[in-house]
Amino acid sequence: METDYEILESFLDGGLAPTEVQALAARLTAEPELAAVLDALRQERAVRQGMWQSLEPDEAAAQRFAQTVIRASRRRRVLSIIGRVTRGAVAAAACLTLGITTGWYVWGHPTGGPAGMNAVGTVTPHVVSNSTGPGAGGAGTYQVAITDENGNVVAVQKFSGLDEAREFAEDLGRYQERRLDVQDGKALLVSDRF
Amino acid sequence: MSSNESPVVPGVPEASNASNATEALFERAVATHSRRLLAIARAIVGTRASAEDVVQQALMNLYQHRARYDWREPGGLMRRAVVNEALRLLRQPRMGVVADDHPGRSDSPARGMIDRETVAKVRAAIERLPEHFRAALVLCEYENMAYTQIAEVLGASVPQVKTWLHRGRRQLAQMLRDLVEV
Repeated sequence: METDYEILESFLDGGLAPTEVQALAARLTAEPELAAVLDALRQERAVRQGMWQSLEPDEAAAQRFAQTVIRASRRRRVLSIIGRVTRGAVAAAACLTLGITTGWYVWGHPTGGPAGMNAVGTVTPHVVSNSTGPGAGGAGTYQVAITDENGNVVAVQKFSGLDEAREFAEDLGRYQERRLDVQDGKALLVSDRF
Repeated sequence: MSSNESPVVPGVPEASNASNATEALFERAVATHSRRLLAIARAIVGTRASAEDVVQQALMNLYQHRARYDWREPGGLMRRAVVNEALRLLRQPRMGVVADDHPGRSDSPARGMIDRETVAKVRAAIERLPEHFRAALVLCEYENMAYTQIAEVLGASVPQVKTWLHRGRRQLAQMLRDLVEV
């Protein structure tokens, strides 16, 4: 019987193939009980149809709702445009700031950037720290700061031992003295090794 | 209404820029389909949520990604969005009961056949059905959708949809036996 119900419901839903419809029509003619069940299903469906239609709001209410949705979509569109313009302006300002800062650092800064790095002839190496903390680049790290004539740090060399750091600083100091002597004419440069 | 017309919604000025064709199509679709979408939402969520909230949320979700969709035939798209939003909402923790602001159209053609009390009983019975049964029933009987379309909207197979419809109808019949003379 459940199968018959399903067939009849599919028939009312328009879900049967033409051959199935023909077969059902033949059965409905031959089986009055089945035809009665079909009539009952039609009545149930009519009741439900009335219920479905009762769920519809009246036309005026539906149009008021549509206006609400349309206004909300227009508000969202305006907010979206404002958001895009604002994001664009912020991005442009950020680019401008970055460009000015970079230009100032590379070309406009009196001691920084490449100009400072070129003052290698006047560097002054010395051990400046013994960092052993977790954020200092490892346990027992010794740093040798190389500064120019104005005291600006132009490079930092790290060593794992104090002796290595001292040796590097002393070597660099001797190299610096030799270059100053060559510049002053006190010595003749025959080798760049020290 | 031809596809080139702008939406005519009382109290809402038309979209000013002709290049906003998608917006214009969206607005016309909203004006055209709201009534049936509200009925579908009400059938699925019953008194557990506001049908207006469900439809508005579904439509605004569509609007947010409006460029992705073809708005020339938006009926199926909007139905699917509303059904999914209604089912999503019902999966959330149980909410309070929402008062029914629209208890029924006074000019309903069914009014002469079925009295208000019967309609109320059927609505109460439908609300007791599992949510997927309700969704399948409203799409099948109110929207006259084919099984394959219902299956697509609900993300189910055709046999599953048939099962939901069959069980939903039998459970309803059980609940409403005294209303229909067999």
